[in-house]
Amino acid sequence: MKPMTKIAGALLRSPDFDCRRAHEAMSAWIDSMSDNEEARRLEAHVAGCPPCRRQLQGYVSLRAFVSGVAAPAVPEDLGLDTRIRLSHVRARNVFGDLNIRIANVLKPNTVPALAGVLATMMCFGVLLGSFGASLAQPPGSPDRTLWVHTQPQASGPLMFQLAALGLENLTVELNIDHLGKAYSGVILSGPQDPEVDRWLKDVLLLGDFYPATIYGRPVSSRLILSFIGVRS
Amino acid sequence: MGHRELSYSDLDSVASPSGAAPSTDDALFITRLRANENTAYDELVRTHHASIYHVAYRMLRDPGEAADVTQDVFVKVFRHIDGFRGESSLRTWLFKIAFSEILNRVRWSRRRYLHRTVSIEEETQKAFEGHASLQLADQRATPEVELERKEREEAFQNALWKLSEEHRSVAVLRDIQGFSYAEIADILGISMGTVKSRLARARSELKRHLMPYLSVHSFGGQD
Repeated sequence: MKPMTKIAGALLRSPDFDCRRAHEAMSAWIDSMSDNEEARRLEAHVAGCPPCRRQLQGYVSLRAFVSGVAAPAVPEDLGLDTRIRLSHVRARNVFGDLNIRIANVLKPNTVPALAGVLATMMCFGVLLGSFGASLAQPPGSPDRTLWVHTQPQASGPLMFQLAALGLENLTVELNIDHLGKAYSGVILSGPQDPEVDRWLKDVLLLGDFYPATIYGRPVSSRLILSFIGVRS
Repeated sequence: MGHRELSYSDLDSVASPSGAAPSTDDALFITRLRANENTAYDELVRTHHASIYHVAYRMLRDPGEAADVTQDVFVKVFRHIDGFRGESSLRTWLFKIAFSEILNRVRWSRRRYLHRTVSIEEETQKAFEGHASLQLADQRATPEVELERKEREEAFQNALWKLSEEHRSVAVLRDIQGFSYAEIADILGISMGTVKSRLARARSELKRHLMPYLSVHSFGGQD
């Protein structure tokens, strides 16, 4: 056995670097990761401690063993499969994805959605018309009434009385309320005839008319009657 | 010590004790990856897929899962390349992602196997597949050499499997992949001191399990 140097012997007997410390330092020593002081102490300890020397040899042998273990064979297609999968992921465009998703959601719902919008617009239009009708001018208002769907119609024998007068021509404007009663009238053109005036008064007092309607609702309106005499 | 969870864009912000910043070539390559160059990604896969597969296989012991993890790693690299800040080398960053995936799989597998009944046929088939993956490694070897090689590989994998995932990780990274202590600390998000102690423990355990295969003779002084 080689005689130990005094220093090595002193280190070996050092209580703070025993076999346990030596075992702990061996792994780092193999990788040259021990600091200089620790490396020196380990080497000195190992020089004088056969069991630790065998331990260290075991670590060296382990490293040789591991480096000699065959690497597991890589599946043949792994590289290609990985590149293919990666190319699919890379080719996927975020906005393209979003467009596809939106199109897939919208397409089946486009027709029903459009039908719903149109139906809503129609209903709204009808409602708007109703509201407009409800805002129809009250009796006596000088403004023309809009949204008249059916015109007022004259009825009753008063029209025949006018025809019996034998006038050449006569144009009369009558304001008809929603109850079908004429509440005012004016002769726009025609002869200044007391018979015509009398007839007009009869119309205002006794005349019955069919009132104008908007969506079936009677409203006030204006009626212009024009008479032209035809002689055979 | 539990594994610290990180998001992939944070992985690179862990201070690298070695300060191993990417080289100029690395920096140029990263620029190409960020520009989504086809050739850059092909090169990345060609260069690294085998080593990532090796590591994943050693950790998971399942060729199918190792292949899945390998593919997932590259997909994640693509998705998070903009988050790579260059504080470590590209290879280190790649293995950070790989180990994050692998350790998630290890934990998931452990939970799954706790509630699973394993059949003998299944285990036999798995072992056969494991061996089958090595059969093409060296066609020129004699049957005896090949058998010995398979035995050693099987013994090594069994010994590795007996380690905890923390010890297995450091052993695989150091003794198989050859990463430095600083890089291992960076990859696993632990201190250098922890790397040293875990590696010492891992090797001690491996040595104990593999003693029949190790040759021990006089080393240095005399007995």
